[in-house]
Amino acid sequence: MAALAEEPAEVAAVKPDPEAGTSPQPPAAPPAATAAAPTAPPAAAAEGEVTGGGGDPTPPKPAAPGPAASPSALDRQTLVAVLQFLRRSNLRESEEILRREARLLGDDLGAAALSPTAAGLLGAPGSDADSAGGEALLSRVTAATAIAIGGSVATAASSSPGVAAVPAVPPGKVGGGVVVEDQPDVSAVLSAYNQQGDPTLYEEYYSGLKHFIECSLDCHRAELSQLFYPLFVHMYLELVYNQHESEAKSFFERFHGDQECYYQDDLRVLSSLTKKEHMKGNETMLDFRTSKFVLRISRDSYQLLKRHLQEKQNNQIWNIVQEHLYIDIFDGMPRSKQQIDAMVGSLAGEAKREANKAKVFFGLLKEPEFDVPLDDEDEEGENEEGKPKKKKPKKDSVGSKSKKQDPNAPPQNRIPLPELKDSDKLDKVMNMKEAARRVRLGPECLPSICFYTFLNAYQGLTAVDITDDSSMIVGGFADSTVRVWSVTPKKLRSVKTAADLSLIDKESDDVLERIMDEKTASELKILYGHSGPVYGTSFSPDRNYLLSCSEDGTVRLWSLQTFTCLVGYKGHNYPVWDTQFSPYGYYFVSGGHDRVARLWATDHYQPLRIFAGHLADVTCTRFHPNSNYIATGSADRTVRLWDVLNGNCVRIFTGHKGPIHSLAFSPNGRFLATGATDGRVLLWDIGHGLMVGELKGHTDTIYALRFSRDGEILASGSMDNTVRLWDAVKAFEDLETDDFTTATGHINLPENSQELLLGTYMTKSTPVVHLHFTRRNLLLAAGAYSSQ
Amino acid sequence: MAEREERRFVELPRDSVRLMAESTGLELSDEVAALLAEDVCYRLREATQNSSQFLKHTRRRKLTVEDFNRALRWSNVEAVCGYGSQDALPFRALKEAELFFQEDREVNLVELALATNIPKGCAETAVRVHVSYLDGKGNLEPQGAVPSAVSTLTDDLLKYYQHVTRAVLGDDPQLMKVALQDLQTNSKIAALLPYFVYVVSGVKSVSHDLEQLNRLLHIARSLIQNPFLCLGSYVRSLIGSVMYCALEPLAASINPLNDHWTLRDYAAMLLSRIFWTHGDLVSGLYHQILLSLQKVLADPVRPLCSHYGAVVGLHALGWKAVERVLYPHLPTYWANLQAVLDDYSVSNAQVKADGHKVYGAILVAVERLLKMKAQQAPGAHPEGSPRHSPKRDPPVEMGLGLTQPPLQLGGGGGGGGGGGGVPPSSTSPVPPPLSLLDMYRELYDFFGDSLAARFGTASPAPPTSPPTPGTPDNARKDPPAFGGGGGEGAARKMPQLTANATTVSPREEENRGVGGVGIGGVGGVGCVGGVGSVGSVGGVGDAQAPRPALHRPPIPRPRGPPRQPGHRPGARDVFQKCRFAPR
Repeated sequence: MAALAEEPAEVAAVKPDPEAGTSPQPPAAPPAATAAAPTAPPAAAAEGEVTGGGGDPTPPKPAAPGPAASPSALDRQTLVAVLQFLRRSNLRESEEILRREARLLGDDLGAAALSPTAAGLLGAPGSDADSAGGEALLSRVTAATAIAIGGSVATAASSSPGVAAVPAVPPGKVGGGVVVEDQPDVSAVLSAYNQQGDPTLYEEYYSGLKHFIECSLDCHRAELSQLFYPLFVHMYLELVYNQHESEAKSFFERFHGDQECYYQDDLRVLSSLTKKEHMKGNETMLDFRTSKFVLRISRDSYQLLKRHLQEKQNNQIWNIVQEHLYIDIFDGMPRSKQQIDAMVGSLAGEAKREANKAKVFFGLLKEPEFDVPLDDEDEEGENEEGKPKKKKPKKDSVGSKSKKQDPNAPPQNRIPLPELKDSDKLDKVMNMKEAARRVRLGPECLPSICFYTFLNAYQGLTAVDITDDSSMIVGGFADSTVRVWSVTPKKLRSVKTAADLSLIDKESDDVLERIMDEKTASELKILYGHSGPVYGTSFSPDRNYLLSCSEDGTVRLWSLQTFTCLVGYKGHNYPVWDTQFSPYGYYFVSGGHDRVARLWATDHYQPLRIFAGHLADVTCTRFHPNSNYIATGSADRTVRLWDVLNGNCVRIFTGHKGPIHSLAFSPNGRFLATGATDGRVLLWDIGHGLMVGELKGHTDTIYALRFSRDGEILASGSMDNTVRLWDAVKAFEDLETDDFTTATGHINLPENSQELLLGTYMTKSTPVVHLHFTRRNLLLAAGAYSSQ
Repeated sequence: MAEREERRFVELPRDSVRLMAESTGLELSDEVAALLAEDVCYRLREATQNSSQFLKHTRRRKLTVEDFNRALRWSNVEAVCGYGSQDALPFRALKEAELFFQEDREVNLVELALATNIPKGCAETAVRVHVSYLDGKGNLEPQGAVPSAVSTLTDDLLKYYQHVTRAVLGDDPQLMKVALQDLQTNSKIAALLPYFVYVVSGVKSVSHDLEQLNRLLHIARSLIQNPFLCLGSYVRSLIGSVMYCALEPLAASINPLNDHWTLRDYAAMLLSRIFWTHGDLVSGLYHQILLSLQKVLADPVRPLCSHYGAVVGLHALGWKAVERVLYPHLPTYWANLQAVLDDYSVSNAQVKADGHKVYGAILVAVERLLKMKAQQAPGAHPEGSPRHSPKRDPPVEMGLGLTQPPLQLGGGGGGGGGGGGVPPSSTSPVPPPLSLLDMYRELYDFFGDSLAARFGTASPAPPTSPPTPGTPDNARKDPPAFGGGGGEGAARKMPQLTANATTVSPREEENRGVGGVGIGGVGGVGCVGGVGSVGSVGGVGDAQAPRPALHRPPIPRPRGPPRQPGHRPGARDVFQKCRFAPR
C-alpha cells in the first residue's frame, strides 16, 4: 500500500501531478513513462506504408490521436497558435520544448513536417511519422503534452491558476467548465476545415465515389463501403463550416440514407448541425475532428481506391482520406461484409490492430496462503467420525487452487494490494465453505432465480449492488438517496457513539458485538448526502464500505459501521455514471460524463490514475478479477481495457452499435462480456484482443451482466424485462485463436445465439437493473417495478 | 424520408421569436428573428440530445422534464420550473386565435394547506424477494410481483367450516339458526370467507330447490352482517349469487306452487343490503347492478318472474334507482304487460297471475318514487313513510363517474328497442327537470286510481287526497274505486288489481319485515330502458349463464299461439314462451 503512494511518480503519462502545471520534468519523464516509447518503433515500422504517413502507433496515449500530417501551411499556423497559447498560459517549459521540437522536425522533415497540431494541444499528440527517426522525438512531444494534461486534470480541482486554461482537453470536458476559454482552440481545430473547393461539386464527388465503389468487385465493395460514412460526415462538416448551408442540407438529404443504420444516432446529431457557429461546442463534431476515423482495408482494396482517386483527380476526397481517416492496411484477403459489420459501429471506426497488441496479464493472482483458522471445530463436532477426513483436502484447498502460478497472471506485486485482515481471512474461509456447496451449473442444471423487487420506488431506482455474500442490497435512487437493506434476518446496526464506546469493556470476547448499538437496528438505512441521482453503487469486498456516485459529480464513500459519509471524492466535475470497488478493496474506479475514468484509493482524495481516451461518456467501469486492469464501456460504443499500473489503454474493443451499459469479466479473467443499448451481448477474448461471440436476443438495453461463480453461465438482464441465461462454456469452447486470426484480427462469428441461449425469464414489468450470483450459484436479480 | 427526418425536430417559427422579443420590449427585424429562431431550434435539439443520457442512466424509458432540466443545468442554462408534475399536461386549443396552451389552473394554497384529508405518505420503499424460477424452470407466467398470500387453514377453522355448512344446509332448523347466528358474529372466520362465498355461489347449482336457495341466501346475509369480515372483492361474487336468485327464471319457479317470489324479494333485500353496507368496496358497483337490472327489465324474452326480480331489486335499491331505470322504461314495458293482463283466456291464467305480480311490484315501486319525489319537491308537504327517507347517498364518485355510459347506451338501445315513447327529459341523468306533476300524470295514465298517492293534476297544488302513511300496503289494501281519481279519461282499467292485491300484500309485508328494504336516496345514475345492447356486467354475467340451458328449449316451438288463439300474439308470444310450461 505504501508502495502505491510512490507509484504515481513513475507513471507520469496519466498521473495527476499537481506540479505538472509548471511541468518541471517533462523531458525526463516521457521515455520511461509512456509505453509508447518501447512499443512505438516496431509498430511504426510495421505500418510503414500507412496512408498519408499517418501512423499513430501509441494506443496507450491518454487521448485520442490527433489529425494527421497536413499541408504545411496549416501546420505552421496551428503551431503558432499553440505556442501563443502556451505562452499565454505561462507554460514556459512546454512552449520551449515545443519550439525545439518543431524546429527539429522542420529541419528533419522539411516542409512536410509533423507537429503537434491544435489537436495535439488538446491532449492528442499529433504525432505522425514516416520514419522511425522521428519517433523518439514524437514520443517526447507526446509525453510532454500528456503531462500537461495530466497536470491540468488533476489540478482542476485544486484550481491552480496556471493550468486553468489548459482544459481544452480532448473532448473538451476533462478540465471541467471552462467552455469559454477553449473557444480559440476549438476554432483552431475547426480551421482544418477551412476548405477550398466548389461546394456544389461535393455531391458530385461523393456520388462519383459511390458509383465507383458500387461498381467495384464484390470482395472490395464491402471494404470500401466503410469509407462512405466518414467521408459523408467530413464532407458535410466541411460544407457546414464553410457556410454553404443549403448545399450542406441537400448533400445530407441526398446521401444520409445510404449510411449504415447503426450510425443513425450520430446522423441525427449531425443533421441538426447546420451552422458554423453550432460546430463549436458540438461534441460529436469535435470527436470527428480530433480523432481519426479508423478503417481496416486490405491492400488490394486500398490500391484500388487510391488509383481511382488519383485517376479522377478527386482531390477533395483524397484530402479527407489523408487528413481525417486512418486507413489500417493489411495484407491478404479482403474481409467480408459480415466480418466488417461485426467490428465497426463505434464513433471513431474500428480499433487499430496494434491497439490490441500489448500484453495483458489476464490470469488470476495467487490467493495468499494462510492457515485455515480452527473454526471448523463446530463442524467437526457435528459430524460423525468419518467426516473429519474429508476436511483435510478442504483445508488444503484454500491454497491449493492457486498453488501454481497462472502463467498469464501478473506478478503478484505488480500493483500493491492491501494486506488481508483477519476478518478478510475469515470471510475467505466462509467463501470456501460455501463454494464447496456450490451448485454445478450447466445447460442441464440452470440456476434458480430470486428476484428482489423494489416496491414503491417512486423515487426512481437507478443503481443496485449486492454484497458478495448476498447479505445486503443497496439501491441508488434518483432522489439522491442511497438505501441499504439487510436481506438476512440480521438487522443493520451502527456502532455506538464515542461516549458509549468508552464505557464498554474492551477486553471482553464479544467486544465486536458490544460496540453495536442495538437501538439502531433496522432493516433499512437511508444515506443522505448526494445532491443528484445516484447512478452507481458498490460495496467494498469486506462489507465495511459503500461507494456511490452521482450526478452531482462526486463519489462518496460511506461507512457501513456508522452509516455515515466518510469521504466525498471530487474530481469528475460532471455526472459520474459508474463506480466500482476493486475485488481486493482499497482501490476503486469511477467513470463519468467527462469522458475519463479515474482510479482512486480510498485514502487519497485525488485520483491515482486518469484513464482518458474515450470519445464520449464513460458509462460503466469494471475491475478485472486480478485488479490489475480496468474495463470501461463508453457512449462512443467502444470498450477499453486500461492497465492500472501505468494507465495505458491496452485494449480497444469495437463492434457495439450503441452505448455500452454493462460489463462483466469471466471469473477466470480471460474473457469480457459487454452489453449495450443495441440489445446485444458481445464476448471478448482479452488475451488475444478479439471478439469471440455475439449473443442476440434482448430487445432493449442490457443493464446487467454476470457470470456464474464458476463461469459456466452468463446471465444478462435488460430493460426488456427479461433475464436471459447463456451457455458461457460453449461460447468460449472452441475459439478460433489460430495465429492468423490473432494476427489479422479478422473474426468469423458463428451465428449461434439461439444455441447458446439457455433460457429467457420474464419479470412482471420490472426492468432488470442488477444481477448477482450468490456463492452457491443462486442467481439474484433486482429491479424496481414500473407500472407503465 | 427527408421530410420525416425534418419533422423529428423542434421547429420554432420566427413569429414566435419576434413575439417573445416584443414581450421583453425588443423589436426584431425579420432577418434577426429568422437567425435567432434557427439558433434556438438548434439549442433545443442539443439540450434534448443531452437529456437523453440522463434518461438512459436513470434506467427509464420515458424522458422527463427533470432529465431535460439537468441537461440545461449542465450547459449553464437556467432550468425551466413548474413542469415537474408526473401527470401529462394536456394542451388546449383556442380556436379563434389558433393558439395552443396548457391549462394552468390556479391552486388555492390556503385550501391546500388547511385541507384535512391530506393523503398519507406514500408507502415505504421496500425490497421483497421472490423465488421466480426454481432450477431455471419457472412458471411461465410473468414473475416478480408480490406473491399472493397463501393462507392455509388451521384444523380448527376447517372443522368450523364443515360444521357450519352442515348445520345450515342440514335438517335441524335450530342448529341452522345457531350456525347462522355465529356466522354473523364470529370474529375469527376471516380466513374462511372465500370458502363461504364459494358455498353461496352454489346457488347456481341448486336452482330447483327453493329451500336450499333460501339457506344459501341466509349464509350470504350472515356474512354481510358480520362486522368483523371485510368482504373486499368477494362482494362481487356475493352480489352475483344474490342477483342470480332474484333475476333468474329458477327451475323452482316452474311449479306455480313454489313461492319463488319470496325468494326473489329476499334476494332483492339482500342485494340492497350488500350494496348499502359494502358497496363502497367495489367502485362502479351500483352502476353495474343497475345496468344488469335494466337489462333484464328490457328483455321481453325473459319471463315475468325475472322482470319481477328486477323490479323488486330496483325498488330495494331505492327510489332513485326506480326513477332512473324503471320509470323511463315504463311506457315500453307497459304495453307488454298490458297485453298479458288483458288476456283472459284460461291458458293464460298462470302468466297473467305472474303479470299481476309484476304489476303489483311496479306499483309499489312507483308509489314510493312518487312519495319521495313529493317529499323532495320544494313546497311539497312532507309525506310518505318515514322509513323511506334517504339515509345516505351513495358515494359521490359513483354517481359522478357512472352517469355517462348508461346514458349513451340507453339512447341507442331505447331507440332500437321501441323505447321511443320515453320523453327525452327522462333520459337525463339529473331528474329534476321532470316535475312531480308530470310524473304523476304519466303514472296515473298507467295505473289510474291504483295509485295510492294523490296529487292534483290540474294545478301544482298538494295532492287532492292525502295519502295514507305506509302507502304501498294501503294502496293495495284499499284500492280506490275505478275512475274515482282525478278524472283522467286515459286511466286504464285494471280490474284484476283488487283480486291480486291480496296475494301481493302479504309478500310485500314479508319483504319489508325481512329486510327493511327501503333505504332510499340513491343518487345519480341515469338509465334508460330498452337497452338491448348493454353488455352484461360483472357478477351478473355469471348469474345469467345458466339461463340458456334452462330456457332454450321452448323458444323454437312457441307453445303460446295454439293455446291462446286470438290474443295479441306478439305480446303473448313474448311472455308465453318464456314462461315455464306449467306441466
